[in-house]
Amino acid sequence: MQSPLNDHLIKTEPFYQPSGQEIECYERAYRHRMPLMLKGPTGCGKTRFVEYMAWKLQRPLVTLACNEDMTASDLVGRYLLDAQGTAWHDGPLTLAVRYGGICYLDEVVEARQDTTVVIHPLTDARRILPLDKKGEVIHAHPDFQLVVSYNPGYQSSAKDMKASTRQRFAALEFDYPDADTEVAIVAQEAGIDVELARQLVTIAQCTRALKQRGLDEGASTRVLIYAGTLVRDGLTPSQSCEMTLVQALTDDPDMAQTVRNFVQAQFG
Amino acid sequence: MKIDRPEHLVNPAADLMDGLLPSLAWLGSGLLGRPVLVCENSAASRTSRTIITDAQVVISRRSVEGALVPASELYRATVAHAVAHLLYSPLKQPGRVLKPMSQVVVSSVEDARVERLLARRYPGAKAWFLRNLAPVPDPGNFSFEALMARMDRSLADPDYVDDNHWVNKARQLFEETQRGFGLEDAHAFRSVASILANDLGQMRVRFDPQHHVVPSPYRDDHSILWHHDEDAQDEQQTLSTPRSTPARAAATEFSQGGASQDATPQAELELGRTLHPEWHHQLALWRRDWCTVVEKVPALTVTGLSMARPLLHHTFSPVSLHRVRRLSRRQRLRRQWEGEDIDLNAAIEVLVDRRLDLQPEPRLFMRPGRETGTTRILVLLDLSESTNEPSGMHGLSMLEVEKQAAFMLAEATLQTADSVAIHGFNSNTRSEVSYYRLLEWGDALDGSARERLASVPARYSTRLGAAVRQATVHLQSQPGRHRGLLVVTDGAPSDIDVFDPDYLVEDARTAVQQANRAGIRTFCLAVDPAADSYVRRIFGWRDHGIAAEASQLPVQLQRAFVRLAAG
Repeated sequence: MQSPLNDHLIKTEPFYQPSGQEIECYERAYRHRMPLMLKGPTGCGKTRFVEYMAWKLQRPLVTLACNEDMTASDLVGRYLLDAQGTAWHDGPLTLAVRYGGICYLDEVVEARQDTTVVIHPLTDARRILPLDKKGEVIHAHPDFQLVVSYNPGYQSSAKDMKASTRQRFAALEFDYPDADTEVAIVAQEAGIDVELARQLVTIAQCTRALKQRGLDEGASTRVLIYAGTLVRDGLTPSQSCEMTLVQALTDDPDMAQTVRNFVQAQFG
Repeated sequence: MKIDRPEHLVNPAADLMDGLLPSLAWLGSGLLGRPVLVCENSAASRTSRTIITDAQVVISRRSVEGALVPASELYRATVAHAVAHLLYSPLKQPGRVLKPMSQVVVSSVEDARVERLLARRYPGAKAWFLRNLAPVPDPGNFSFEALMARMDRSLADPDYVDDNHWVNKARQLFEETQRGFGLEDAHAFRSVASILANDLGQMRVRFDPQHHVVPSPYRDDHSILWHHDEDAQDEQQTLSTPRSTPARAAATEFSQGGASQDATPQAELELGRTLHPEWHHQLALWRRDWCTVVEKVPALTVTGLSMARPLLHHTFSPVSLHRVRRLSRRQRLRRQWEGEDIDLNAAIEVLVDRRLDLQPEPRLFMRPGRETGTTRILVLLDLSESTNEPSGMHGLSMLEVEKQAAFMLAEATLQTADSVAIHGFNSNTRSEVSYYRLLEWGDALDGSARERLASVPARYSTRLGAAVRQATVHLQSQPGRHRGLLVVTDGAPSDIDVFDPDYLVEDARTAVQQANRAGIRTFCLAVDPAADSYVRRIFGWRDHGIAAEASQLPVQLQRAFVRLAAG
């Protein structure tokens, strides 16, 4: 049968370098279709991990980036007007529930709390999704799983998760990998040699030491990959880091100079 | 706002130094991987080289004299060199066992060793050091200083060629040791240095310990490497953290001296007294009506627009605050291009239009509108004695920086729907917690507000919990759902009638929790590099920020405001 989620299947293996037991933990959680929460700073590999697991488990992955304006109907669907009158259109969450996919809500706390409560009946023993506007109750497909991610340090205080939402999830904590693993990841993903990757990782470690002392977040693995990619393409390391690290990390001229100094401490 | 510079502040070197300090501290912390404070040596005449301690790099402004490179490059090398010592040097070695000359040679070899080690981790730093080495002395100069400068260069710069036997021997021994033992073996290098010092002795090179200055301006005075028994205490005193401890002691003495020194007690206008409970954490007991909070308007000791005295700092340009917008279910926008629900009236019109073969109006959805409600923030300033300490910023005290930062924030909010009140507090035992109301929500920022803010004195101690409770009362009386308390402090809570250091911290923690439960968000900005230990306990792991320098305060304050206002 042609499932509407076929486009969401991940065909090729995404590169993912585990830094602990997270793959096994995820597999065990999936065995029980347990909702999962992935916590960690920006750009440390949360989304990539979900993609990798979806590929490994051969399940379609429906990803939704949450934002403040997102409403419950953006998740479950809404009536639209067509030639015959009104017609119901399933939202992404409803699709995943009906046809058995992994639904991944990225940065879930960005959505308002009243939006996220629609996932409550899905994330307990009931595993149902009531569509009150349509008068339908969907029983989740046996393969359906909900995964959310968020970045605990970054959001403002009021944008925390409600306790009633939090406690529906098992959580996996992510952090930047240790130096050697991170070097391997940056080298592999950006296609650069290990020595350059190590220098980039050292710069990132300098910036991470300034978290909450001038920077909201240190440089992520992702921007290191950006930096490496531009170097591979022919930019000098200094130019590349200026684009991807210095200017991307901060607007404060003093802090920019500091980050530039970290770069110069590597590349002269 | 146009800022006129007072005459005495126009000193380019001074300005430059002040502007560089925050980024130098960041540089040091980043390279070192843990917080380190960079400050300026106020006793400028005492030494012309940097002094390093465990948590501080005290840069001497005199080191820049006669330098050929820009000061920013010199200071950058200075910080990197300090980081090299902190990362790799064995610190506080017994110094008595060595002759003064040996000590200098050992220290210089150590400089070269740690710089090479640092360059392994940060290859670019090598160029920073090279550019700032002392200039090559005249080849005929065989004084101790000249030989040391030549040795420093020959160890740091592989391209440098010297014709002196001793200098070449130093380089050869150094390289051999590096190959044989590795750079990490500090002990092996110390033996090399002893041989070299011995040679110098035999060459009868004169050494004058009184007037010796480390040749390269970016290097430190080596005091961190050695431990001398008799002056250890003295050094500790002069180099202990500039704010917290001595200032607290001063506060205690001052308040024990009684109110007689108090010049303006009568002129202060008392608005009312409130009793607040206090939490005793060891007994788990609420002490009812324990603290008396006295609300006051300060006596106007300063009149005229003295608050107009500007702060001259490039980070001081006020950021423009955006209006915070929130979605509101109470307002529904009809006939929208898109939305979560179909607007039934519009849908019926569409169907009617279709039947009539008219072009239907496509805007047929409904969505919730924006709420433009205001945020009310109370900025609570710490007005304890310690804030009279110089902030290291243009000779302004911490208090003045606090006041001006708060005032600039209030000014910035004028363009938005949000509003700010500025209150301040200090305490002289539980019977007198003074709470100054300096600026109320929606007050004009006219002359009288400026005068009140400029006049309020800083004295006594910091009983934070009682002040937070009083601020909570004020915030609760404000309309609207978005209310926040922004505390600016420079040290841990303390008071002279409390001896348990945990007591006031725990009490403040419960006060903050009570405020949070009342729907008031809290955030604390601490200008104290050692604030980690207590702010986090009081305000939670997320709702605090630490500014290592007073100069960061204005920017951080506005950031904190945006964060609170965004909810």
